[in-house]
Amino acid sequence: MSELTPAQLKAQKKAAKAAKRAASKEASGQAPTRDPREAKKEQQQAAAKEGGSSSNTGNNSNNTQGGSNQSSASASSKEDRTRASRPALFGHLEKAGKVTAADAGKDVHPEVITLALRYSSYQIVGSSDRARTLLQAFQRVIADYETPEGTTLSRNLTTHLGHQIDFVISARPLSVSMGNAIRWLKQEISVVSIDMSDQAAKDMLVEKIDEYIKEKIDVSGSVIVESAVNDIADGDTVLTFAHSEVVENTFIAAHQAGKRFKIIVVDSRPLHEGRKLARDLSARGIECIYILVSALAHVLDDVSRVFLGAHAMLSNGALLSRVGSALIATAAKRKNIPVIVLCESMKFSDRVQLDSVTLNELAFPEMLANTYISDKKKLPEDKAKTSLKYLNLCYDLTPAANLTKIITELGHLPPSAVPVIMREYKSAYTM
Amino acid sequence: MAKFDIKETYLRFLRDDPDITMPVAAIEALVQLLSETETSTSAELIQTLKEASAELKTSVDNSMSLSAGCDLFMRFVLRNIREYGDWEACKGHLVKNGRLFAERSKAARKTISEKGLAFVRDDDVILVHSFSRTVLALLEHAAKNLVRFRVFVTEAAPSDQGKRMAKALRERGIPVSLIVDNAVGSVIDEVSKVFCGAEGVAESGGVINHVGSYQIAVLAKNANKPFYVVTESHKFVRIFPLAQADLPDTKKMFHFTVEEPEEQNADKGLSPVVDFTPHDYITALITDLGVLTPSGVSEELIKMWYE
Repeated sequence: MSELTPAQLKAQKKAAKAAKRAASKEASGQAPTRDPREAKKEQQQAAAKEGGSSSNTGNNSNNTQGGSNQSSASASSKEDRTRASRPALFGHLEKAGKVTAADAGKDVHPEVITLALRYSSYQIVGSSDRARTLLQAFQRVIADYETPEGTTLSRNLTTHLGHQIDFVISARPLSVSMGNAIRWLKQEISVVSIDMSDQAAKDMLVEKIDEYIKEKIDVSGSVIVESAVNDIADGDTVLTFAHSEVVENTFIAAHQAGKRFKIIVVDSRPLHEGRKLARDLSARGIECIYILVSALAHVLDDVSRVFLGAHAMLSNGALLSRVGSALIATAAKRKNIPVIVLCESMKFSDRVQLDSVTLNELAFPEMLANTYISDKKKLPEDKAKTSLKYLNLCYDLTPAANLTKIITELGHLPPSAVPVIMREYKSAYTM
Repeated sequence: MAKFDIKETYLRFLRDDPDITMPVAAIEALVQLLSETETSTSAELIQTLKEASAELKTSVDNSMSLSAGCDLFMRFVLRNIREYGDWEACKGHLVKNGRLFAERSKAARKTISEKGLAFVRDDDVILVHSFSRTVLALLEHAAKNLVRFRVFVTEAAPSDQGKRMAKALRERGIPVSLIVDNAVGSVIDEVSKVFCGAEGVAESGGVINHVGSYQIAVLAKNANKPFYVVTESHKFVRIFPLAQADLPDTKKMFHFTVEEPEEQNADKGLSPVVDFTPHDYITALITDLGVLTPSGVSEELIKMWYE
């Protein structure tokens, strides 16, 4: 997501600066021009001491008393601490932060605050849903926006949206679909004519967002469902992993079309997204088996198709999806079972990635600590007191070789067609 | 006016011109339909064409290849109808260009032989499966260019199209050894490359071809011999079979019985006409658009359909 890098860089710089300032304040007497890395290390030590003495909250809990200035400083120290508690090699990954409404700057719209908190607590998951809700929130932001004196909407609104986006990112890193939607929206704003009245421009943008949601998410989704149904035949056993909106809709549509088939929902800790799918499908009378990914080998022999949803499709034909998908695809490939990915072209990314480590997202480590079975099996959560490290990755990468085909709203395509679609539709994306 | 018989017209085109391929015959039949039927609105025309294509696809066995032609022509019609305001001019244009299209498709074979020439070298031993006009054209062109090579041709049971291929090659002065299909494994180590034609090329770059192609492709892959598909680009179809079962006719074979059939060779009739060779087994496709990797097919299809 090349578009996001400047924003991320800015945020990083800001945090580094704040950390430096705070550190130099604390250790007065030291020369002000120190190596920032050194300053960070010191900051980290100071933070560790702090964490050790305070016992009321977990390390990750947020310091809510601070104003926005202070909170950014504490955020960076928090960052350092969590970094130390992760296994090496994963230190660079973006992670969801625990934010509260108090962390938001004054420019952040209440709608966006609510939404960011829901992202952060995984109440809204799935990249289509996240893109849709983000755009809908932006409609409110745009409707409530007023251009300040001495500037124009086409210049200022992007900056204003930038504040909203920064806050959303602080709650959870953006998905590829959200990145694509934001890129498109910024492009739309930048071409708003100066002569247009603010109200007219706002109305137009709100309407365009409606169109985007309809065309790129809703209609694309239903076109995919319509054609994916043909890949389910009577007597099939279809295996799927976690939860994907289009995959669920495809199963429902196939069921409504009178096809008799069986679904195996494979699920995994810690999000258990498959439960929603298993519940929804069985409520409609579709024959369902629910297993955890660890039991995969036992059911694979009967499977005739694997359907996967996507977080993103990358330019080298690789699939980025919920962690565990790569395992499923590899196992299926070994048994010569076709692996079908359902993915709107809105989730195509021009990025190329060869492994799951380079770019990924870390979810809250304490999700792994608790098993919900018995307190005795609980792992220590307080990172200051244990040498145990948690790695809770959100996504993994399935190489193109393990995928059979991608069903998009543009047809049934081999994974190698992803860059072709990106190229041929360049105009459509940057419209 | 008597009802236009699309199937009969199609079959007549195929009979009259032995050089014609199934998709081209389908296009010609549709053009014929267009010029003979009175339609007053574009919606009616589209409807007529749609019905005719559907009828062709269902009434002819092994319709994969001709459906490529139908879809292509349909696409062409839909694109042109929007551009013309005047209805009569539009129809005239469609008929004229439909013919041109058929002509151009026939010319494709010549282009293919030129592009594929570099793939036939001196001292090559080439394995060819069944009868294919494009492969024949390519090998003939190579022989004319004084390349010295020998050819194994499979019989291609039960249709015995391979015998036809062997005869045609020998007539053109190319030394041929006709082998039974079961002998491919015995000769594969001596073969330098495999050529075959295609009935249709799927979105993935996999090909639908005369039954037996798949097993030869697997053997070739195992022996590390290049497997080339020689085909016209108008055979590219927007379908994506995942397995053999996605092709028509494959289900017939799953009829298990302990009864000995009264008629001899009755089991032969259950054999499918075509099979699907997945793209993993194909080295390259030699087409009129150039020599493509299997993934190049979807690229060409996307360009063809969305430009």
